[in-house]
Amino acid sequence: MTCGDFKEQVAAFALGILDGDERMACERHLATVEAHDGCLEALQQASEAVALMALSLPPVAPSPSLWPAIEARTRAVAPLGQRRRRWAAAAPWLLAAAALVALAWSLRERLWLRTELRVTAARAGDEASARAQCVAELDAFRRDAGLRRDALALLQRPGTRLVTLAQQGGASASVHVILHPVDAKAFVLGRGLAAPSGKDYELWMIRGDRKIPAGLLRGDASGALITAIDPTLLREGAPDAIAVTLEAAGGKPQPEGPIVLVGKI
Amino acid sequence: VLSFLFAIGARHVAPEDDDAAVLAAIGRGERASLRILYDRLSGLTLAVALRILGSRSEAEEVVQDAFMDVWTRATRYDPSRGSARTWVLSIARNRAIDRLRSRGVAARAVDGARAQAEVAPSPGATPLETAVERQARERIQAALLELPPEQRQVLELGYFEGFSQSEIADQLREPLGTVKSRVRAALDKLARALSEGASQ
Repeated sequence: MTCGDFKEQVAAFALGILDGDERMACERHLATVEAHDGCLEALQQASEAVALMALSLPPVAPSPSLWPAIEARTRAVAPLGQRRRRWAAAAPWLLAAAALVALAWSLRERLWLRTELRVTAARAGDEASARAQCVAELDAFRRDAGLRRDALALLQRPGTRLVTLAQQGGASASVHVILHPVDAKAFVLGRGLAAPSGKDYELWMIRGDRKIPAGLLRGDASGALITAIDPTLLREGAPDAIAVTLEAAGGKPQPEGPIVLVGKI
Repeated sequence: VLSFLFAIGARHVAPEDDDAAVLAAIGRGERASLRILYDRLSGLTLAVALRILGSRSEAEEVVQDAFMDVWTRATRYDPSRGSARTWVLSIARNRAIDRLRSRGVAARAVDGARAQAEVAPSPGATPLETAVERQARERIQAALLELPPEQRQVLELGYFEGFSQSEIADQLREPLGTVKSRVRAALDKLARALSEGASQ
């Protein structure tokens, strides 16, 4: 509908005799068009002219009960503007309340998140620990496998000697040493090497009177052990004997504890 | 003479700026302002509702509803569409027409004729209007009487009996275009007279 169309209809629109679709079209035109070409002026003029129909009537005195009835009804409902203002006045409090709820929710979420992160971190820590342990065990297996392979290979080489250490004083541990003096290679295979608490089994290379420390023998959970002897200790050739003593934890520079195993090369 | 009388009526019967200010106060929830507007316009709104419905009890219910509309929707009054008084009168008229339409078309014609007979304008002043207001009303009546009868008829069928322009065309057995033309012509004459009167 153009402004021209509206002005054609404005008399009937102001009088209220347009049919539904036409009336809606006029209302839509008034509501949606921003720059009218005289529509509002035409409407105002027509409305005032229509009002003359009412103004042509002599006023009629309302009954005395009419105003009290209206006044009573007005007490039950506030004007639209006031209702809006009440909402507007309440809006900051409502917003504040909503913000508090949001903050509480946020804190609760943050707390929950923090707890979850802590649990997850703990789980992750546990997992990392387990993973590290697993890796260590696999490394140990791999190392042991490598050592076993190397020990087996060394055992099969000519000139290799297998020395079984004799148990002393009722010891339950047993140790074999695979030694190749020329290649300066040696492996220790042990069983039952679970030292008492606060103690460690310590290996010694014995050359004459010298007792050269060759490392601690710490078996796995089952007490089994395979380890290589430091090749530098074999530069001088095969030792005279190999012995295992039970020392204080961490070992000693020189043997102080009892000899539990010993073998002459 | 008509313009002169309109000018007097506009000054004494239609304190538009004041009515608009009262409406603004009502929008702020001032019940006393609603009472002021009621004192000014209840007689007219009741006259319109009674003219349309022909029943005083129903007419007073309509006036009650109309002033409640004013109370709750005063902030929606748009001065660009007309004066505050015109807005209030249109609310009462539309309320009355809605009630009339709910009765059915056949009953409306009978009710309309009866109401016109019951509340026909009296020659004398009522206690609710001053002598000047009575003069203004009489000149408006005169202005309406100056309209050609067929133009006045379509205005009355539309305004007081709530018929749409197509229903008026059916009742008068006239083409719709003719009815539209009569409505435009009638309101143009009234608007022109009103405009000329106000400018003097």
